[in-house]
Amino acid sequence: MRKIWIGGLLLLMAAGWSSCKNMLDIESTRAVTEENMWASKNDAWAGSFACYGLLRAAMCNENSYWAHGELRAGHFTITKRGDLQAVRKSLLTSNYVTMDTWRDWRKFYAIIAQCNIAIAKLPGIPALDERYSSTEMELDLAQVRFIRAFTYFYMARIWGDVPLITEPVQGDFATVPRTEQNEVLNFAYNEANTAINKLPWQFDGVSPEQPGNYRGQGVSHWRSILTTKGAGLTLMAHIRAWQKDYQGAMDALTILRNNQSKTGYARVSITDLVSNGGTFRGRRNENILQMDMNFDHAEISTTGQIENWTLRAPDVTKKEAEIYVTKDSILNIFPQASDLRILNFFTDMGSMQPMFYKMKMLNDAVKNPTLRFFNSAIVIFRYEELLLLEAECQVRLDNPGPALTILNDLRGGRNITPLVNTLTKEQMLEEIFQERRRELMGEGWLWYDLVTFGKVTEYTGLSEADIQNGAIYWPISRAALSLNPKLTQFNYWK
Amino acid sequence: MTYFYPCSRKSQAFLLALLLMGTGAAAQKKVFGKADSTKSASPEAAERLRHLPVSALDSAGYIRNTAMMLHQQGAASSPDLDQARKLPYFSVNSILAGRATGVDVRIPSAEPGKRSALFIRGASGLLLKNGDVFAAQPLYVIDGMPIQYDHAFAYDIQRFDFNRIGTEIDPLAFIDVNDIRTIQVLKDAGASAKYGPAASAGVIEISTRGPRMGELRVEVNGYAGMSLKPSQKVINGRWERDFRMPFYDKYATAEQYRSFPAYLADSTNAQYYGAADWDESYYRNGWMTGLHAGVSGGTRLASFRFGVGQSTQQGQDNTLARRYNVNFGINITPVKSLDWSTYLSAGMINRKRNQSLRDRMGDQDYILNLDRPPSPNKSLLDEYYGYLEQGVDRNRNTNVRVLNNLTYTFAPWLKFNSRFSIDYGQNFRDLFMPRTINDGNNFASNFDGLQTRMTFDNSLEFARYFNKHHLSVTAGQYNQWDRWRYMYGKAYRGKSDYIKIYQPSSPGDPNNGSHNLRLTANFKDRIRAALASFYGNIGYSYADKYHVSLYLRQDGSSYITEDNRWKMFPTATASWDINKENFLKDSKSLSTLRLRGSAGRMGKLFSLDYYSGGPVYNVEIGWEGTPNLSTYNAFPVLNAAYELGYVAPGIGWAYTDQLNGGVDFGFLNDRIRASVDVYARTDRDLLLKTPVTQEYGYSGMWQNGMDIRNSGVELTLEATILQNKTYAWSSALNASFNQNNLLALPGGQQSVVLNNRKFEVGMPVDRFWVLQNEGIYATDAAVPAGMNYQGIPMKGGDPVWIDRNGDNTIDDNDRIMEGSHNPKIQGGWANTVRYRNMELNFLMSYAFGRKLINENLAARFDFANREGADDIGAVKEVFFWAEPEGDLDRIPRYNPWSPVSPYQVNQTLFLEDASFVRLRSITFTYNFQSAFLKKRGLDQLRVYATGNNLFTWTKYRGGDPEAFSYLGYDQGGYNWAQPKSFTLGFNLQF
Repeated sequence: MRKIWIGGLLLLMAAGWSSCKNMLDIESTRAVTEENMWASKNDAWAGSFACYGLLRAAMCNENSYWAHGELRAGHFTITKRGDLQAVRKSLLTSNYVTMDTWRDWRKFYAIIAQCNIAIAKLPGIPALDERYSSTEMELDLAQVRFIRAFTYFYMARIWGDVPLITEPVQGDFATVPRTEQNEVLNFAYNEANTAINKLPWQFDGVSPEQPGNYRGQGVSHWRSILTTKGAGLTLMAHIRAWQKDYQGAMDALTILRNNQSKTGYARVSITDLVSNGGTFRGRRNENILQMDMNFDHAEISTTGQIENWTLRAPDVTKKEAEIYVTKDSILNIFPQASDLRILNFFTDMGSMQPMFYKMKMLNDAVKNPTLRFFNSAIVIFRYEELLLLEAECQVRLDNPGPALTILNDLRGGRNITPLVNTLTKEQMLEEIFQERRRELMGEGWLWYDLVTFGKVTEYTGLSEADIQNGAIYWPISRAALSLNPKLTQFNYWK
Repeated sequence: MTYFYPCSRKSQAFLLALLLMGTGAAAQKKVFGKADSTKSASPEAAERLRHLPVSALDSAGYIRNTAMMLHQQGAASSPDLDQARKLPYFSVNSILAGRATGVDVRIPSAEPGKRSALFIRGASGLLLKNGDVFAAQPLYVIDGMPIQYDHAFAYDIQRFDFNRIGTEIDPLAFIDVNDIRTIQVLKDAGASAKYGPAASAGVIEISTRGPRMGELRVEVNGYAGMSLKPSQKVINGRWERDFRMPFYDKYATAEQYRSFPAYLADSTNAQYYGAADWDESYYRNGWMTGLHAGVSGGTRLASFRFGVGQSTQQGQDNTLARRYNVNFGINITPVKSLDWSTYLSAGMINRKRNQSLRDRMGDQDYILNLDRPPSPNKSLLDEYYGYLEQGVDRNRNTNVRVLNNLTYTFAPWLKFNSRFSIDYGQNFRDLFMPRTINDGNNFASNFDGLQTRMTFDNSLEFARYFNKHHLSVTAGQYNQWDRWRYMYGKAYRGKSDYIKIYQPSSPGDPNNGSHNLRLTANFKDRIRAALASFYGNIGYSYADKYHVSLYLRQDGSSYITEDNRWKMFPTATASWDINKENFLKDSKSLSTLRLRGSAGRMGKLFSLDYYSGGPVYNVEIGWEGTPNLSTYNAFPVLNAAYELGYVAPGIGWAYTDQLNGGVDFGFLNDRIRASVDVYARTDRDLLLKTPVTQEYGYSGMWQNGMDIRNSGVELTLEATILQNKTYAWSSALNASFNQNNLLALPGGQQSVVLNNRKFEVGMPVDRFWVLQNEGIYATDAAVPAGMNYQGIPMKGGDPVWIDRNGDNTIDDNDRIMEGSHNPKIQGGWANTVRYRNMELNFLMSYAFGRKLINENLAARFDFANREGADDIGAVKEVFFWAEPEGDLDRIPRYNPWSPVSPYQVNQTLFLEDASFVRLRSITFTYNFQSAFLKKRGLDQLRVYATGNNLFTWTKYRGGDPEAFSYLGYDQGGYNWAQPKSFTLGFNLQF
């Protein structure tokens, strides 16, 4: 009996010792390690689409897209939020949590970093996973390349000179000084130019760049959601225009115009522009590129859309919106009463604070009463904007004729009177600027337009000297400055 | 075994140490086919090992309370449980507050049954957010079984970290104080090293009243009492309007006037200007009851104890916790020399939570309309409660612990011990908020958490006297498997308030099911971890006067990179009982004099499993306000973990170095006893994420390399001042002094700013980082030329902040590191006075040198940024309608709309001294005479009355000086003060 007990005990001990043979090799079930990533088609899909996801996240974060592109221009009035007020007054160094977010470019550099890794790793995957063809890899790679180019363009507009980093991080986190804006933009231009060679006009499965169904989905699923040749050329045109190389911009625009049948781009009626299934739902021909949100994909959010700032009762349970356009401004910006946009972009005009009603993307499933999950896409490029850019370039290149045609077409569509052909170049540019201001209101363009049209002093309290000192750009966050001694703040923000 | 004898010379002692190391290493090699990653044993040692009968050791003490278990080395303190048992404590932590030396108990909210925290000798790491508190908790050991603590990982999917999703029930509330025999707080390596890496933050060692031999004994304990509702100065809209108007009169622009809140503007509105009597409905006197019974008895061959208990506590704000627990223990000796013990405990706790809007919005991850606060009117509050009744908020934790121990005694000096334990916990919450009180959209969620820990410990112990020499050698092995997991689902906008569950629709048809599929979300998470250890201990004492021991432990953790996985951790202790020396043996005045010393290194476990394989990929495409988005255009994504941070390759063990020296005195036949301990605990190579160059997208890099030292002095003084048959008076005072210091940051950095705090090498790690106030600029003209706040020119009405570096710019460089919520010195003073059968006991607890930031007050003044803002910081609760606690007149009237944020929280304006002395408990007991009892067949009967938290002396004007968040901010009504309470109770034994 006693021996049985002793034997049993020894067995117990043996069990303890042998059971721990592999007990310590536990892989995390919560994250993927470097060695397990970039090995299969699924990794390639997830790793490349992460670039889109991160871009959307950076733009939506605290509504950065509008804080950077819209608010500083001043046509929106702030009800009470001090941080928005401060942006409007260009007090960009003030002390608000959100202001820290807007000054901070880390989330944008996360996109760059993800693109850099993807560009380095994607080419190796077809050899590891035969389900992932080289053609598909090239297509994913070109999209990633475009996103990186676009992000650099986007950052250069916000911060001016930004460090140009094109290689994946090695773990040393070497500090890099700012790169001169033109160099960054040229890099972005060349990258976009490289990308368009491998991008299709549309994801319709007929071009050699994109045979069959891309990721199992047809053309309507991807329309304006993924980058195409058209989006690449639009970006190239914008880069050149920002560099004031209007001929270069025109070259890209000409290619687009010549391939109108392939792009399928079309203008949008005012009804479709503001309707619930319209432009800001997207996947439509007027959109060249959008950062998608979609109720059917549960890609919806309470923050990150302009609706978060502009809507109020009765649409959402909030008495007062964060921002609105005053009645005076509306009448000022839209001087012609016949303009269809007035009643489509605004509502509750009788009240003290009209509601900006261009975007109001609430799915029926979250209405009555409202559950604040918005699903409007951020429309980065759309056809009307492209046409206005073309008009601007034509005027700058002293071809007022085509510009006037474009402008009058657009004006006709919005029911305002055509312009006569006796306008001077300055008057034409002013008209184009005003048309952009009207048409693209709330779409994150106006601040950049003030810069490109040289109207910052006219519309804000900043002086020419301030602009020379870097006031049109955002200050770099204190965190970035302290971590990278090679960075310098523009004088205006010192 | 006489080989070791005698072993007084140094070289031989060293050899022994080597041999012990060899045991661990050889065993590891055999089992893992892999040599020690830190140090390999010499071939010579391995050779000797082969000839050595494997000797013994048991890491976790003995269930049967042998002398060895009691043989405690190192620094430990135990609270007076006899008194604590009478008090209505729901959790172990509350017992220790003020009663144990070196312990800092934090109860941010006195909601019954809610998780609280405890730090032994200071926090062993940085506390940057609420989730960090989990990893800084000590190890709780019940009868040698290391209890599994909750895991912080569920915070990952949360936008707001007020509460962790789930029940937030205190995992330590399962233990009924009537089942506890002793509690010891083990503080230095000498005392706690045997519990391994989980014990690096100290150990709370609890032993329960186990089976006992003898006649059947029944004990019954019960109490009932009441906690009193707090008194508050309630206010209505008029007060708030009068408070704000001066600001408007002085500073407001026309636009700001226009956005004067509507609910304050109309003084005829009865909802806000009517009676302020919300407190009558909101607060109540809370009942508390407890009943416990135990039966024990048995023979030498088989004995048992069975205990069952129930306890209920009501909070003053409609909260409640109710516990049921049973435990059963049995010792049997099936064959000669074999002792078999099995302990089984099971418990269930239900909790009713607070109804604060902030917590509710946090739960829903959705900010409701904040245009108007709740009304200060009772009838409207009652109406609200009525609607709330339609909702569901069930919180239930269940816990089962099984401990099985076998001891085989080969010879009186050789024992084998095998121990196996399972700790199983469930954490379950059902939440449903009806649409009536939720902006018209109902919300349902459910959390199902499960955690298990299994441990297995085998050891062989040799212990024998050789004349005056006593030698014990132990060797053993320990395995631990941990698993935490949860499933969390939530759904917005169900079709009906009568459907309180959710069944998502099919993708094609949103009309079937109870909720639209797209408005539901499900999360699943799990972490597994394992620990394997080999240990050896050698203890030697001579003539019961000199004691030395060396404990060596080889730990391997699954959290750590394979190359660095194994590490050796040694601990040495020594003590000298001087009073047993001849020259003191007969001294009556100095009856005890003992010197103790210990030095040791213990491993420290990580709490997350990300770090073992270098940089990781994760899904992080959400943003502020929408953190959990996981797809782009319905396609899953995977990105390098920019938000989590770059995990540096080759992360290794963090560890704790501890030094402790102590003296124990006893004077006058031990009528006066004193202990002094001096210690330094240095947590080294801690993992920290520090920001890196932002241009690579990462929020920071995780790497080893942070060193923090906590050092201090602890003093315990106990005296039996008077003692005779009719009366007695004894008194006990304890004091702990602790300070911390940052010794190093990863990568040789000198300072880092994290979560609005600055950490600088050479400075403490718990300081607030604040601007210094010096009044107000009365007019624009009073502002010195060029003075600006981060580039924004200062104006009249802005605060005067001290420009410390004189550059005319107020920014982070002008912040100072000042004040800490960790007191410089704290402790308690207990007194017991007995007269015949009556006994009076009271306990005062105190803390000095603590500072808090009165965030609640700052929020009140910062109305310009918080009023109606669509932000969780703008939430107003019912208790907004109480006069804010604090000295309002002291606060200058700044321009609240100024872009310099005049009422930002982190400034000396809101930093206040929160030192206090508190009468924590007072107890009056009557013991019935034994003659009286014997006649009735009773062993013991006593009745008692207690009072708790009756008086507090403090300079702090912000309310209760002990009610504040883990990070040192007093958030007003969210930090619920421990209530005054009275109870009556009895203990009966027969």
